[in-house]
Amino acid sequence: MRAIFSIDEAEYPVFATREGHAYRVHVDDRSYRVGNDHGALVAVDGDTIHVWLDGETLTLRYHDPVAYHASHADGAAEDTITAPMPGTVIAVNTKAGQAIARGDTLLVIESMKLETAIKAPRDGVVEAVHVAVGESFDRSAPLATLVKAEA
Amino acid sequence: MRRIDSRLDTRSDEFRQNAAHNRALAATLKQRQAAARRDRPARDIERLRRQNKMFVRDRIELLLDPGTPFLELSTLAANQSYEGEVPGAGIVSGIGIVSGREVIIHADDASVKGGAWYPHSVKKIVRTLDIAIENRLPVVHLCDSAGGFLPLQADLFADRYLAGRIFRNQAILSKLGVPQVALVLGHCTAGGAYVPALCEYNVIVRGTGAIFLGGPPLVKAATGEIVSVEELGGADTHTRISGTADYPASSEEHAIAIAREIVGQFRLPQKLEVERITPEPPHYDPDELYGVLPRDIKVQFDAREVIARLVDGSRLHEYQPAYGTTLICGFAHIWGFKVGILANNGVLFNDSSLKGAHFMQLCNQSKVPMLFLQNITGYMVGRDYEHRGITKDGAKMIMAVSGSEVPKITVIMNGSFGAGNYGMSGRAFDPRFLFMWPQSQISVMGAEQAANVLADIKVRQLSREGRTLAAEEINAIREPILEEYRRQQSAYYSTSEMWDDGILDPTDTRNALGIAISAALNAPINRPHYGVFRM
Amino acid sequence: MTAPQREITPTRFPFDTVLIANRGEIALRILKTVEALGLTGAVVYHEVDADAPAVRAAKQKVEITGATPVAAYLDGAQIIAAARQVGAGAIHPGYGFLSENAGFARAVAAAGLRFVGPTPEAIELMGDKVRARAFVQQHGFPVAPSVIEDDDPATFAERARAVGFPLLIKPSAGGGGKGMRIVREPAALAEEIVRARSEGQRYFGDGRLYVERYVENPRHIEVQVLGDAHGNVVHLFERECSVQRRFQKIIEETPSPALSAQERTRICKTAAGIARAAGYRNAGTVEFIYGAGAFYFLEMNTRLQVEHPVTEMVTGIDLVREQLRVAAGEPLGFAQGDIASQGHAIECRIYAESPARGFTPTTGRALMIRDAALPGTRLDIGISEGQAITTAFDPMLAKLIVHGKDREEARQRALAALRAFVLLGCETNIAFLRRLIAHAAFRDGDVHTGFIDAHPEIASEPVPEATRHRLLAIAALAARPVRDAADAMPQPHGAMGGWRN
Repeated sequence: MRAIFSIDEAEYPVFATREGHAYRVHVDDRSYRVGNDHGALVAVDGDTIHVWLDGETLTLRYHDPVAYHASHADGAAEDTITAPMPGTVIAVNTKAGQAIARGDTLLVIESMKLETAIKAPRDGVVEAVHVAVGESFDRSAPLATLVKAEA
Repeated sequence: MRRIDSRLDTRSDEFRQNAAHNRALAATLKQRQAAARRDRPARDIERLRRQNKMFVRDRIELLLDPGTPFLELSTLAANQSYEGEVPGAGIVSGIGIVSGREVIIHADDASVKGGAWYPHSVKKIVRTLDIAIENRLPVVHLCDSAGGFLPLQADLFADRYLAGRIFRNQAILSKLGVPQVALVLGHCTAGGAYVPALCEYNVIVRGTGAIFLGGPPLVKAATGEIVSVEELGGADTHTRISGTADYPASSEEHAIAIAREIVGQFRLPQKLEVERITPEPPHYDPDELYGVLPRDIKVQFDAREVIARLVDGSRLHEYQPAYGTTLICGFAHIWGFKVGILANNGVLFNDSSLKGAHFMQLCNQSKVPMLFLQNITGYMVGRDYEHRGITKDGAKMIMAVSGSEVPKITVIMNGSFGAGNYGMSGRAFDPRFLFMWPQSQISVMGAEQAANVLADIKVRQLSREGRTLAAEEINAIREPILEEYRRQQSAYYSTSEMWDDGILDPTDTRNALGIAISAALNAPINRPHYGVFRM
Repeated sequence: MTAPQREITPTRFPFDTVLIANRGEIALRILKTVEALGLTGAVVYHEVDADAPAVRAAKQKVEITGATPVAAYLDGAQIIAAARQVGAGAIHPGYGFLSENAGFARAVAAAGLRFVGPTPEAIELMGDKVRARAFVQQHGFPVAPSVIEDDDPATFAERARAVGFPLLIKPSAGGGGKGMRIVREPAALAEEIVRARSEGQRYFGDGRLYVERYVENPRHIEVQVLGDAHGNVVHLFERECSVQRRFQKIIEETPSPALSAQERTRICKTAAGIARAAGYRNAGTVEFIYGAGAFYFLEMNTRLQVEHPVTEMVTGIDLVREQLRVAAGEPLGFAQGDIASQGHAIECRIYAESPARGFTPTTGRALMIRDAALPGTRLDIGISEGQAITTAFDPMLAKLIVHGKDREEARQRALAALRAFVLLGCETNIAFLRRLIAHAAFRDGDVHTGFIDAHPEIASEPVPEATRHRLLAIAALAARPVRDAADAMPQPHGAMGGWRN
């Protein structure tokens, strides 16, 4: 599996191997020897890498493979929000058809004298809320379902 | 260390004809391997696509570190069984690099009979895990099997080294501190459910992966309960409720990325302190191996010519060069690793047997892995030799081989007949890896010899009954025996039955050995300890 | 080689501290001269500029606040209070912000401080574009055919149509290229007038308009002038600023490749004449539109301009020093005949923007800045390494100015300087500038204000694929996972590569 770098929207699979004291970097189906004498300047800012060589600059982003493939797949599990523990519903902040953003509080539950906000795991639209205020539920009980996201 | 002085005349007719012959054999091997790897009925490929599954080899390519080698084992397992409908026994097995670590991979091939486990499949998985145990190699399982092939259950279930051995081996690996990770990419049913359960880590793909001891139909039949695959044993059930699975993945690519990250967490092994120098390619062209090996198995060749085209710089330090000349013993390097080589150059005599036993002790004393290059018709027979103790001397070789603690690797260059196979570390003597060459033959004795013996018995039996046979009638008895013998002594039969870990193109042997030796050095080497050498 | 700095007897300044009411590169540039003269420099700054080079360098600094960062720098009262706080005797307004605000100039004077710039009257005269135009015309200097709404609002549209197309609608209270609209079709005129009025109201608080004949592909040529309180006015030659985008200058140079020696003399004399007629004091710039052998007065900017360095490079005169001397009441230290222009200078404005994406502003952080300081170059930079680049202000980050013995040498030096200058962490127009200067049309001096629009490929040209791959390869190694994976590859496997049996 290769590392994925993106320049704007374009994605490039990349891997590197040692070659003596230098490296050989494979981009798509070509490879480049990169030694200490490459003459480029590089500045790193988290997963963003800026590089300068001979008057040209480029900004790329490194994508962690797990995160990349997770976000490219169908997020089916994120569709049903289940109860992390048994408890009672004390507030319902949403309803079917409502558009929500990641992190929005959909419901508040109470369990063992603790209140927990149940938040939307991703942007989307609520398909259904399965519980009402005052209702009790078990652990893993479905609390709300989001409309299946388009891939 | 001195470079071997090659006496080969690469321009002779002999050389040219051998080369043409062996090249053709190598080409055939490549074709048969390619077919076993990729030729599938269209409907099986189509089914994979419908199920949203990747082809097993694409999974492996994604799993492996790019730019690294992969030594596939027993590609042609079961090639002569089940009417050839279970290529590779439906399993892909091999040693590769994942996240910088050497691992051995066991991958179910769902494009072959839905990934069902045939008796040969079970044998291949058990062998894969035996290799893992002996070499302390972490294992990555790519699980996608329909379960045991029920019609042949008698040959895959009850005995000691059958299906149960898979799970026993997994448990022993864990006991030895060797981690395993399973990717549940299909259904792991019944026994198959134990594969992920017995791994330290496992990843399950939502929607396609499932783990259960009994699937929905079985559950309904057993208790009447009606339950879906997902609810019974899908990703969310096992990653959120039961804790049987560790990481949910939303696609196979996601699962493989997670698995790579997991393997990246494995401790880097403390590799054995074995001599390793900077590698050097052989001085002589390995391609010339095709010309060294004779077209007729009865023709002798100098094993030094083979060694010269396998080892670094073609350099060999030969031990006892003047004594026991039918067995070449010496030290060389392969991909920088120091190895002790024992190679047949004729029949084994008293002196060569003693030399071999002694040299094996030398290798064990200095923790040098051993490479056995077999081309042996047997030990010398005859009164003189028996009086000098050839049987004892052969026994000493066996004792030395069996008591060795250093890794042994065996390559059957040409013939491996009878007891010669034993002293030269045949399969029963636990070499870490054993490979054949395309023209190799292995049987208790040569085909001609065996056919003659058996025909002879038949003729004498018939003559006792008062019948004499004409030449054609004798032939008619002899020919079928010869044919069957030839079939069962071929490298392809051996590899079908997994008496070896794969047939190698001779020019691939150097790389295979480099990978094999490196893998072998993940296990500790204990002090050697032998039984009694009959003196 | 730049012209030699002139030796002048040191001035006794009636103030020891100058407050610089500006930011970015100009604040630092002014500070340098203030300190070179033995004076103390103080800067005001908004919190977002806390890491700016001028703020770090100044001996005194006062934080200012506002509803927005820009609003802070427009708060005259706060700035004057800051000047008092640090005991400044003079305020240099830089360019933009309050530099052409007559009310501010008056308030500074009323506070007993010296305003380093022209008189409030001159600012007012030239700030009202209609009044300025009328003034210039009255004094016999050439202006472009135009009509002014105020003259007769009812017939404005009709008179505008009579000017002929294409024409330019401009806000009376505007400047700096803002709020102008080109109209090519008579049918669009009415609508464009409505739009322009609305913008004038919104940006300048004044919806009055005037209309000028638009010269297609004109060249924008301006002349630097300097006056003192004793009636002396000189010009310091012209600058060509034709390489523009949406009326924003990108590259400026002097001398103008378009003018003959006579034209040069005429245009400079005209500028000096205009300044003299207005009794102009301190530094200013008279801007002209030049086309087909004729030039017309466009406007006068009563402040130091962004592109002043090219004039400094060819004349050897420090304009900020002259500004401070004039503000101190000194007469000019040289006469017109003492001023000579040697060689050729080019300035490139470095912006935080994406030429390929329609020049939209970009943001980031100046992770790395490297100035190669090649011979004949000067860098006026307004950001420090590590400073965040935001959309709070105008996106100009720096100016790269080069001097050569002739235009071609200057051009080559500009190419080398642009190739060598490094700014990593935010997308800039540096590669675009290089392609502009390398373009055959620029090499031939064939520039006009429509040049960039006429050659859209210069802006959109992407990094060549081979270079992109190579840069990607080098950058990828800076990602730890990639490098670590390469380092972790075991041997002999690495040497075997992707071998399969």
